[in-house]
Amino acid sequence: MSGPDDNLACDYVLDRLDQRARADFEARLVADPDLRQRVRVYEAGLAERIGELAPRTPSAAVWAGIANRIGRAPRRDGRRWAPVLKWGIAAVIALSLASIAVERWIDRPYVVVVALGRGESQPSRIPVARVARSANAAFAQLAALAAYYWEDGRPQKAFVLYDPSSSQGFIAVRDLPAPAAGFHYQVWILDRRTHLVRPAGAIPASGLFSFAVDPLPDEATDDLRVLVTREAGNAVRPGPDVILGG
Amino acid sequence: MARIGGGDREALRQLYDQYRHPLFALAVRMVWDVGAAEELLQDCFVKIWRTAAGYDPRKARPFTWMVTILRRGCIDHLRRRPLPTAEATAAEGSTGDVVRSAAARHEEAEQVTRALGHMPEGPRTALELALFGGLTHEEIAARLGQPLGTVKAWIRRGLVSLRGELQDLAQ
Repeated sequence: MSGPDDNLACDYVLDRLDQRARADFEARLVADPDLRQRVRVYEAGLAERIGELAPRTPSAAVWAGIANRIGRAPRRDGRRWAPVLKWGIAAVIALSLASIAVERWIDRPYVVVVALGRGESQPSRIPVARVARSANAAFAQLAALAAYYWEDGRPQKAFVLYDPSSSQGFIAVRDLPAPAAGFHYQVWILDRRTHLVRPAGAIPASGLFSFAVDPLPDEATDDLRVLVTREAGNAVRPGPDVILGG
Repeated sequence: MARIGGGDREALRQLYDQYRHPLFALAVRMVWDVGAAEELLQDCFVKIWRTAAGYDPRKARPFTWMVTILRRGCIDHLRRRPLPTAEATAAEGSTGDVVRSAAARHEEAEQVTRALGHMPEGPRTALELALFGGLTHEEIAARLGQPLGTVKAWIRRGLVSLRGELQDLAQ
């Protein structure tokens, strides 16, 4: 199997033709079944080669980001998220009183997602349609995204959403066992570039929790680590008892 | 694809569920960065959403069409941001991260090598660079020190050599 058309078919499948050559080839392709058959051979080879790669599963954040970008409204489940919504409304009211204006400009608005587990996981960026114009709007956007993400049926035990434009976040943990008397679960945000550790608050019994921290540098959000530790009293640094780490 | 072109989000979700694993594997293999690969996969499906109405099944199978979109995004990404040097990586992350990252890359490379293990080194390298490296044929020829025609022939044969039935079909 060789010849000019085979070369062209292979280059076409590998996207190696320039715009004009590609257009010319496609014009022939729609009218020539034999040429289409040659292309099919290379398409099968391409699929086979890609199929030889070890399959990898993207995080749930990818689909959430796609859904967000194509304008899908987050699904809502009033029963499951009733406490969150109630709590979210209260938080929005509180934030309204504070009236923190966020005018920070970033190249491409995004929210960071960290799936928490026993092992280390990389933060992922979810592009969002626009920069929230206020902390309230950022919170609402974040809460809606968290609701969608949680309802999407993914198996994550816990995840964190963090909005770098407003330095606030959302954490949700399923089935967190009640801590022993005198202990609580503490969330920490770690900026590995500056080695700063920011306490982000204690997780309530519901496992649902929002937090706000001192602003992180933009470049730190790709290297964000979130820890949940079991602490007693007012710890200033994460103790050794890491329950969940991201 | 027609349903997606008509604005059916559920159809896009089904397409995503069907193809996310191989496409994500391809993106990771091309950019060696899980976070960037996830962004590129997102970009790919958003582009699919926007352009599905223009998809023509006579020109390419759906998977090839999606791979083309994804590979273009990955190649753009690679050209915008060259791979970091080992020194830069070491300076940015902890030793443990670098070791883990290197181990992951080695494991991936091993898997690819096993998959293409039956091929001679030159054709195998040419095919890997063509599929996953984002290099032009000319760049591959220069890197391997081989004539352009030889490299093109290696790549062409490498794409079809695994499947005897396809070779039979071609003959």
